[in-house]
Amino acid sequence: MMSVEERVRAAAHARASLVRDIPPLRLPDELTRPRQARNRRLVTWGAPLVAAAAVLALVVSQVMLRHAVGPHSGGTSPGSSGPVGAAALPRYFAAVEDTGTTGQLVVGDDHAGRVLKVVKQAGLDYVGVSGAADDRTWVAAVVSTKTKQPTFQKVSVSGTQVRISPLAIPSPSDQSYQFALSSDGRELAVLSGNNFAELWVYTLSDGGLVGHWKKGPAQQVSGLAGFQGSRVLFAAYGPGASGYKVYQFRALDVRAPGRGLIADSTVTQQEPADVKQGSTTIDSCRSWVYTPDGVLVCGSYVGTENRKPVPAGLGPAVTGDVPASGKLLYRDPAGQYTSGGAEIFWASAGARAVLVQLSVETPPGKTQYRFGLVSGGRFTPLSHLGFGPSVVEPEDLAFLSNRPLVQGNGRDLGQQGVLPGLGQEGRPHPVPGQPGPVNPRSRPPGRAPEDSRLR
Amino acid sequence: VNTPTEAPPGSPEVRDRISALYEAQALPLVKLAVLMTGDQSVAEDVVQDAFLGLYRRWNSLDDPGKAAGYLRSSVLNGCRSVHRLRFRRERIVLDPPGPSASAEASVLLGEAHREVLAALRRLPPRQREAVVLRYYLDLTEEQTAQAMGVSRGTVKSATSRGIDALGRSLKEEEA
Repeated sequence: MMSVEERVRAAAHARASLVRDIPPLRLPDELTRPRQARNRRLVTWGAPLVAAAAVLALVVSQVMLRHAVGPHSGGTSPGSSGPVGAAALPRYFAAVEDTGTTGQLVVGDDHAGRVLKVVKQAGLDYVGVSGAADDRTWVAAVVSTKTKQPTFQKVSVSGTQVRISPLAIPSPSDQSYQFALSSDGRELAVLSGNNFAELWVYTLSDGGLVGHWKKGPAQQVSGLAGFQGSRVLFAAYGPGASGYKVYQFRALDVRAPGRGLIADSTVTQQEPADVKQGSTTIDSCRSWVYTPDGVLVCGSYVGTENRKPVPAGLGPAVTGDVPASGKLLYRDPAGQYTSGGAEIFWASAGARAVLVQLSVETPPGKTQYRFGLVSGGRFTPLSHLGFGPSVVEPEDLAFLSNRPLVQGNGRDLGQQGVLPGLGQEGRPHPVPGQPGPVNPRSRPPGRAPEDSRLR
Repeated sequence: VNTPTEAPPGSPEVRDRISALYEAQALPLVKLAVLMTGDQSVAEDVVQDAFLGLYRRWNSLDDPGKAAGYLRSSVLNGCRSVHRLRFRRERIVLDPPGPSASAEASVLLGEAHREVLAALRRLPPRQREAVVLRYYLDLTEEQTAQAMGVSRGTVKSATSRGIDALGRSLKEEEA
């Protein structure tokens, strides 16, 4: 049977081969007069070129200044607990770093500012990692570049030693899957199947199957949200035709009887999706994580029709049901952008610190990304590396590990020392007990995100 | 041989150069645009606009060898604009007929190819671009990144997501 890539190649060439005749080129006559053309060109096309150069200079200066800037306040927020220092971040991290061809696994010690191990193997592509609560046990997914078959490896740190061992857990049934390691590091949840139709939970020790659950035909599962004790947390769209307007966050007790992913799970929380306000669409929980104490933290998406600017007060927001600080943790100030989003990577207990990537799309179609820490109602930008400031995407970073961190690649982190370096050059690395989305959570069929959206 | 910066804008020499480029590049670019938009007449317009843009910006090119890359990026940008316009239209008209190939093309293409192309058109533009550039033009990740104006990492993730989405979509069609 042909692979999807082969089918695309064959179909594309078949369609392209039907294009044989095209009309001749039509050039405007008025531009054949050199003097007029020169003047017109300067007026019409000179300005955008100058503007482009200015934007480039601005981007470069921002990158250069990043090392120097301190905490930066930008948006609005109700009162909340004080800022969280870098010391609150956990010690070890594991992450997948995209080298452009295949992913490599990086394990490091944040407090010492050292990379302990970089694993890069020929023919193997590390694609995701999910961690336990102990801050030193992870499961990594690695795909053979030949067979495209994913397998899982256990990664553990002891002192400065990093051990990697293959796991007997079966490969996911579908190319699209998410996985999450339990807090105690003993079980792995794998969400896969057509449209995330099935959930499997395995024991790490022997690959044994703890349980297998399926969703019903009319139900839509949106993605894993992690483990809490014996409960697997996941998100689904609400039932019925209007269900796409509601995210239901559900908990499934893997020790309880029943094999229905939806039928045997309980709704713990609901969040609206795709609320319309005039020409503005707001998805209040496009991105989510659970804190260790069970607070759901959401990142919103906002987009407008006809490429109008996002209205004031509707910019990308970070929210969480935190009694001490209220629902809104941070909202990006309004600006001249046509869409924006907040991608949540990690949140500490009580959502006192949230690692987030803010993205806004400006009218010419350029998307700007800022990665940083939301705490005390402020957004503090943090550096990332490896990708230009305008091209980092959540998917590039969304490889979850045990704890969230700011990390560098091996070379930079090793040379520059300490991680706690909020503001240091380092690639963010989401984390905790949260799933490793090998593929981003997808919307239901027929609901493909529009082009103005962030993903 | 004059470089582009030496040729006066709108001069017969520039017209000749652009025309020669059109002879050599237009057909493959229309094919690319057809795959991106699903409509040959729209694709032809996008390619015409790209050549017109090159003609107007000829003096800002410092290397003739960059013209092909410029054209490809312009075509991709044009296809994105088409998609935006189409999307806005589709939000108003519920369940519109999708952009389809010509009747002749529909007949000539097999059912399997039609399903793949329909699924391809349902992808978000960036994923569709990445998939088409990688598997139709067989560009490397680096070349694709240059054409799309993004990083290799973005190309990799967009391609992966696109292929996954296509796989799911095709499975549903077959189910």
